[in-house]
Amino acid sequence: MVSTSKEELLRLEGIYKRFGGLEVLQDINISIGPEEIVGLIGPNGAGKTTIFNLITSFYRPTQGSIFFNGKNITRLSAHKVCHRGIARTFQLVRTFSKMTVMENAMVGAVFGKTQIGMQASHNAAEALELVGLANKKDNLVAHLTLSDRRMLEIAMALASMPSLILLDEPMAGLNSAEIGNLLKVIEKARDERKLSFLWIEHKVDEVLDFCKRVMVLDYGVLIADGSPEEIANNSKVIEAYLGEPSA
Amino acid sequence: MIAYLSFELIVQLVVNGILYGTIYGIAAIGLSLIFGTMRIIFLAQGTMIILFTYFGYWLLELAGIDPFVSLLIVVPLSMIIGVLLYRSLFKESAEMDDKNASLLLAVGIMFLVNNLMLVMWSANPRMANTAYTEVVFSPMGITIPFTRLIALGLAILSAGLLTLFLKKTYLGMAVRAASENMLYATLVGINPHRVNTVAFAIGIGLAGVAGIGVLQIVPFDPFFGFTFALKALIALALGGIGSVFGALMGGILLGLLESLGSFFVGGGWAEAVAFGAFLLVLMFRPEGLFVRSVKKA
Repeated sequence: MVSTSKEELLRLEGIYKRFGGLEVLQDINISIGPEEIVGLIGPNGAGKTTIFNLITSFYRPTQGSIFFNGKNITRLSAHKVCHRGIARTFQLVRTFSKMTVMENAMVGAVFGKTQIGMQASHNAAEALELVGLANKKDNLVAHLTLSDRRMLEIAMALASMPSLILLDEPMAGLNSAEIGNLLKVIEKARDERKLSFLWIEHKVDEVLDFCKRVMVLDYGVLIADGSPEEIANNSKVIEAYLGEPSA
Repeated sequence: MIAYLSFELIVQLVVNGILYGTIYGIAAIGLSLIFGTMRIIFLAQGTMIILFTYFGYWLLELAGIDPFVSLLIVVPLSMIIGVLLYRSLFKESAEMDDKNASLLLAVGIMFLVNNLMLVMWSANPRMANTAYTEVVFSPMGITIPFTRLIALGLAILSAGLLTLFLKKTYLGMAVRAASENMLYATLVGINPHRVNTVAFAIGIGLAGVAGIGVLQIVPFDPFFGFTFALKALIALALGGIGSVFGALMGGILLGLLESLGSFFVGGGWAEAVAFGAFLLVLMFRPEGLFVRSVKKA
């Protein structure tokens, strides 16, 4: 399903990644358009986070290329990928705990897009507003709840004015009320900022409910890419999650 | 010796400890900053300090420039040297996961600079003398050498300026973020080379400040640097890595330990007392004495 339309934000082309003898990703081809929220699911160890690490240039692919806004970003260093407009959140929240909420957002704003002064503080404040942390901006991050830190991470991503945000299991450790809040924030961000999201998630049901398009990764191979209905009825996907039907 | 013990003497020992300890403190702040972003103990820090002491010595002997005026030359120069050190030597190794390459580089620099100093200035201990080297204040029977008071002022001034830089500027914010987590800092768009360069510039710049501080306080020789680096390391462990205030306090505490230790236990034991305290702190409070440990939720 490699689309060739001009309306394309991110494209992974024939990506392979090996660690020593272990082939973690095989011939991955992914294309994501503007304002799309795409779910990426798959069993443990399928290589989902590795894809994120490749897109953000934390790893280099063994083979293949990554294009963003039509430009090859495969060999850019990590901070430059961020400057191009790809932001990321982590499965284990990574915020700067010895700094305040506003300082964290400012780091995202100032260094994510190398903007300074009023513009940066404006973007940081706006991002905190969007995720609902504006009233806690002077709190030390170490004192925040997990849910708030997750929101802050998203705010830091938003403050860098990206066009694509990679979410790595944003629901992990959140209760259902917090998950509801998170989904609202993500939709709001897409609508207000015209953003795309690529979203890794373990909670398959939530992803199938929320995303219009879902991709499934199994043992380093992309086995399905389509609407939630197609995914739910795909025999390969069912096999990957439930094992082969015993005869 | 207990017979000589008087209130004035105790106060004098404490004052000596504090005044001398501030120099350790400046050295420790530099170590802390470089450790923050680079994750290595920059073992050459002490040797760099003594190198700048010799720079100050030369400026005084050859050009007649007053040591404290020479700060205006030595500090910018040391910052430039810091930048060049990073750009030329550490840039490649900083990108490696294995920090041993960077650490070995630091050790190599230490030996190189040490031996260069031997060639240029010989192993004879030196000390600078100016018109005011011998000037002392004597409030209430306590002797306070003017040069040590200046060193204390320099330490407080540089710690204050550095704290302002870290808290109030974007670049300072980036250094703090990178010190917490370099990988994540990189992923939010911070250029790792830029923050490392800043850490080196300020770290070696502080070595310049400490170097000039040493100039009129103690006799120095090229080998003095390594001991100094060890002392700075102890000060850092006492105070806690990652806090400017902690490093300064660690230095002062170490100065106090040495000053009181050499009086009560004997001069030869001063260092044993300092290292003993170092081990005890590592055993019972490895995060340092002056750092409020943040418990992870």
